[in-house]
Parts: sequence; C-alpha cells; structure tokens
Amino acid sequence: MSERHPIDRTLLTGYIDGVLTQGDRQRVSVHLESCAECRQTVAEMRTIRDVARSTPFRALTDDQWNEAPRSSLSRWARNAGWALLALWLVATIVLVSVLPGQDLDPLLGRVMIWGAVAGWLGLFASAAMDRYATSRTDVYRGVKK
Amino acid sequence: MAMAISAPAGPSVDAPGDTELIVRARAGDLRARELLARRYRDPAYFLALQLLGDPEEARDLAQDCLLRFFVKLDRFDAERPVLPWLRRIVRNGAIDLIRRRKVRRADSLDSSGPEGDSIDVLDVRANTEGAALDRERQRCVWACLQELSPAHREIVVLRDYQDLSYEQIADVLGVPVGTVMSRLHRARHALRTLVVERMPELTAGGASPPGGG
Repeated sequence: MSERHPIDRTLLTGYIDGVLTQGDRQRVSVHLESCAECRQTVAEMRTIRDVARSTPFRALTDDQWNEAPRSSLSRWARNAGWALLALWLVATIVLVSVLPGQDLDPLLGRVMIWGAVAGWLGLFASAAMDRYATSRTDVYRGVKK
Repeated sequence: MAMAISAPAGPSVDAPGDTELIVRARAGDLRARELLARRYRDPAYFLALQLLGDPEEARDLAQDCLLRFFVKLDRFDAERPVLPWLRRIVRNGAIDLIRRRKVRRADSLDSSGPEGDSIDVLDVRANTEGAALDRERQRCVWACLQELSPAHREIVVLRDYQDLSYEQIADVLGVPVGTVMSRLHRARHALRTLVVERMPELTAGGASPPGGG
C-alpha cells in the first residue's frame, strides 16, 4: 500500500475474479474511480484472462492416444540410428562409384562397419524402449482376459 | 479433429457415474475401464499440455497418470471425486518433468524453451476475420504463458485455463486460499507485462475479448 494506491493491489485480482468480500470490493471500486493506473491494470488483466478462458485446445484423436509413447532418449536413439545408417549408405555409394575395385583402407573399413552396427543398434534400442513404454502405459495391463 | 475449451465438463446425465464405473472396473469390467479412461484422458491431457507446453510430453504424462489411477484402482475410494486427485498427480508429474528438463538443458547447454510457441495445439479453424483475430490473441497469450516461470504459469493455468475456484487451486497447490490471490496477482502481472510488450493492441483501449466474454 502507498499514498497513491491506498489498497493492497493484490485485491485487484480478486476484484477481477469477483471473489472479494463486500467491504473489499467497495474499497477497490472507490479506489478505481480515482486511479487511472489501477483501472488500466484491471482492464488489461481482465482482457488477458478472458482471452485465456476462451482458448480452445485441440484434443487428441484415438489414434494419437494409441501411439506408442516415445521418450526423448528413444527419439534421440532413433534419429542417431537413422543418421548413421544414412551416412553409411552415402559413404558406400561414394566408395563404390569413386574407388571401384580398389582396396579399402582397413581403418576406414572398420569405421564403416562399426558405424553401420551402431546405426542398427540405435534403431533396435529405440524400438525396445518404445515397446517397454507401451507395455507400461497399457491400461489393461494386469487384467486377465 | 476434436477440439475443446480446456476446462473439463462432467459426465453427461445418462452416463454411468464414476463410483459405478470404478466398482465395475475393479470387478474386471474392461468396458468400465475404457469409459473411465475416455472420460479423464482429455482433462488430464489439457492440464498437462497447459503446464508443459509440449503436446508429446503432455500425452505421455496424461497416459502415465491414468496408468497410476488404474494401478491404484483397488485402493481408490470409489466415493472420492477422481478429477481433483488426477489434477494433483498431473501437476506433480509436470513439476518433475520441468525439473528434469532443466537438468537436461543445463547438461546440454540447450537454451530452447518449451515448444508451445511453435507447435500448433490451438484450434485453427478460423475463417472469419473476427475469429482469426481471436486466434491471434489466444496464440499471443499462450506464447507469453510459456515464458512465465513454472510457478506463475501453473497458477494462471489453474485459474484462467482450467477455470478452478481459489479453493480448488489451493487444494491442488497445497497452499492456503489466502496465498492463491497474491500468487495469482503476481503471475497475472508478469503475464500482462509480456503480453503488452508483444501485442500492445490486445489490451489497448480495453480491447474486447474473444467471444465478447
């Protein structure tokens, strides 16, 4: 409270929501008549509240609810897996077309083999994580048929 | 695509009540389980979405909370209303996720915020000029909401998006009713600052709210 605002300004929120006691409501009403700043605060907060209240959200469809829940780790593993396999494919095409019939550097060969293995492992790990998450969120889990 | 204002509606008059469904579900009635899941999945999802801002995380959290509900079904008091209990566990789950998000970001130095600003979670079926303007305002407020601190965001969500009373908010947050008004005022003040900065015309001259509400 101050000389300019002789009311507790948190009451403005209660005033907007209509939850004040009659006494508090009257005190706020009297103050608003003489205080343009608080009138503006009330008007702006009320507008924002009404915009928020009228906001419609998109509900999920049955298909979206039935999608396997995917953790961020699973998404990361899947993306990394696909990226490694794509790199492997590009490298293979380049080597076959640029260096046909030539011996491959052993180190490069090992990198390519392990890159492909890591890519498949990423995809496999992602699928395993998704399957585990699906089993955990099955609402019929534990229910005997 | 189904759309809804986020404040949940209760079961329709003809639908079986929660108590009946819980009793039937406990006895192994799969149809009762499905009805319960369908009744509460949207309210759980909307609250999770509004607290987290990310539709995928929100769906996973809502599924997880429904799972917990079914796991505890045998011990759940069938006379007790489901929604307040569900709101509390969704809110607690969202807090855990937000904390983990902070740790992940600190680890990865990734400063990107929640994706509420970029992902389309709102109704976009606006073909009239007035409706398009309403959507623009709703998007602006939604985007600014994502920039609030979690504590501020949750109280604005509970009051203005979920339309809960101060008593219900106090119950969800576990604080005295008297604390709700002061915390809500600070949160609305922060939100107003952001909205006025981003879209001054929204509040200038007491702009009329969407739908005349």
